[in-house]
Parts: sequence; C-alpha cells; structure tokens
Amino acid sequence: MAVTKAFHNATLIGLNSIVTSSSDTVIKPRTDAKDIIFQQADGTSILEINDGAYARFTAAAVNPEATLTDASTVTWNALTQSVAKVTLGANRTMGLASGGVTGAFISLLVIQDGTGSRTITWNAAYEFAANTAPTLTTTANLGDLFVFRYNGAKWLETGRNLALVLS
Amino acid sequence: MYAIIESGSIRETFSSRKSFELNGLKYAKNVWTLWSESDLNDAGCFIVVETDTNYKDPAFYTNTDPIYTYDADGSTVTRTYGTATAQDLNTIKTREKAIVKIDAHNLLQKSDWEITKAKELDEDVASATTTYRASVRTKANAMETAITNASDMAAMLTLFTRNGSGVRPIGDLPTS
Repeated sequence: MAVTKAFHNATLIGLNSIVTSSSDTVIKPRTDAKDIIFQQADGTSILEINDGAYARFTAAAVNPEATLTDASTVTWNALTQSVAKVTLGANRTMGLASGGVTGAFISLLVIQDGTGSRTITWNAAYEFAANTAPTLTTTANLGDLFVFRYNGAKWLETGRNLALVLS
Repeated sequence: MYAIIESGSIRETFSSRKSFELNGLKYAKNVWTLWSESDLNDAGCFIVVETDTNYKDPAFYTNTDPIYTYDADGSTVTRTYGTATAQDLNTIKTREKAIVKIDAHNLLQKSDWEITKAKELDEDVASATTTYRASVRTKANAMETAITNASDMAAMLTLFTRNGSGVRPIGDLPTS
C-alpha cells in the first residue's frame, strides 16, 4: 500500500517512479534526458541530478566540521567526520580513518593546545610525500591542515598547510 | 646515533634524526627532540650510548666497524668498537714527516720574496725574517726527529694528541 501511494505521488510530481531494487530506493525522472532538480520554495536550485550522469550542486555542498575526541589514539570516521579537527592535549596516535571509500577526500585540522609541541604518530595507512611523516607545527594554538584521498588501501596526502593562526 | 628496535632486535641505526615507520605507525622527525627518552624507548626508539673506548685516531689506526648491542633489560643500545689495529709504523712516520716538510715549506714560502729581493738588490734581509725562518726549520727538524724516534704507534699517537689546551707533545710549527 505504501509503495502504491509513493508511486502515485511520484507520478504527480513528474517522476517516473520511486521503486525498490534490491531493497534500495530508486528515483527516476518520468522523461528521458531530463534532470531531477531540488529547489527551495522560492525556486532556488540547490541540487541537480543531471541527465548527463552527474550531480551538480548549485549551492555549496558542506560537510560540517566534526571535532574528534582527543585521546591517546584519536579515532576518525571518514564517512561521518570527513571534515574534522582535533586539538592535541598530548602526544597522540592518529588511528586509521574508518569507512574509507575509494576516491573519498577527508581533511583534518590538527591544533596544538595551549602548551604546544605535541606530536602525532600516524597509522601507516596514511601516506605522505617521500613516505615521511610530517613534522607538526610546535607553536601553541596553531593549526596544521591535512587533506587525504583514499585509494582503496591508503590515505594519500594531497595537501597540507602548516602553522595556521586560525583566528 | 639513534637506533630503532623491532621485535627485540636492532632494525637500523642512523646518525641524524629522521622520521621513520615502526610497527605500523609513522613517526615524525621531531619525536627525537620532543619526546622523553622513556617514551621513545617504549616506542622502540633509542638514543645510542656511544662507548668508544677502543676507537682510535683513524690517521694512525684502522678501527673495526661499530658494534651495536641492544640490552632489553637495561633499555639501552650501546655502540662499541673492537680493538683497533695500528697502521704500518714506518709508513705513518714517512707520511707525517712529509706533512711536516710541506707545512714548513708553506710557511717559509710566504717570506721567500724577501730573500729573493735582498739577493737581487744586494740588500740585507730583515733580522726578524731571518730569525723566524730559522725557527721554522729548527722546529720542523725537531718534529721530524720526534717522529723518527717514536718507538711504536702508541707513542706516535701520543705525540699528536692535543690536551685540553690544544697543545700536543710534538708541538706546532711557528706561524710568526
């Protein structure tokens, strides 16, 4: 009954179908070569599922910044905390970022606490230029920003920006 | 010197602080300066205790390769050397006397022009110059004699070993 109602509503708003496939929900436009566009009430487009087989964000796609828990070994979920920061209260180990999907990008802002000179020992799955673990800024309260891309096995560093004042 | 211990054995040693990977973790270079020694040791990183009593001046002796030993109980890595072998005494004497001659030559050469000029113009050489040049020759001869008289390599080494004030038994050529 629920599926029937969903199908009916989909037809009303111009979608071909909202159906299930292997337990997934599939949404298709009614007409070929047409896009699916998500808009605000005033007509401002936010997201377009383009017929050219890509998604276009007409407004920024924001991954909220997550604050990782400072601990002896810092845990990081690449899916739910793709944009993250952590303030180091001592010398720490950065654990393997879980939930890696090939092609995913994640970023981490490492902030020195008021004492500074904190170090991070990285899980070997993080790969840096010349296979050399980075030397963090030691100045208190400054930040070092790292970006990684997942290749299915390792988080490859794609960039870093050190000694950021942050305020 | 620094050492990395993996599975109870010395994996590598190196002379300059560097980043490294150990037991699935990547360490930055500055852990060597920022971490306490006990924290370093816990991670398998050691600052080598250099016990080099057998190491001798390589100008006179052939030293063994360094021997690194990990003491898990004492949490130390030490560097030692085997007994150094003296080089051929006569070869060293010949070399060191040649060095004395070259050094003396170089010192005398600086005032050679004064001697040449005086000779060409039939002038007197300044007495200070004459005195200095004589002192260089006298000292060079004394140094060569001391080298010749060294009974063994230990005596040779003693001749050339400077004390805390920079003075060595064989002395140095005068520079002025």
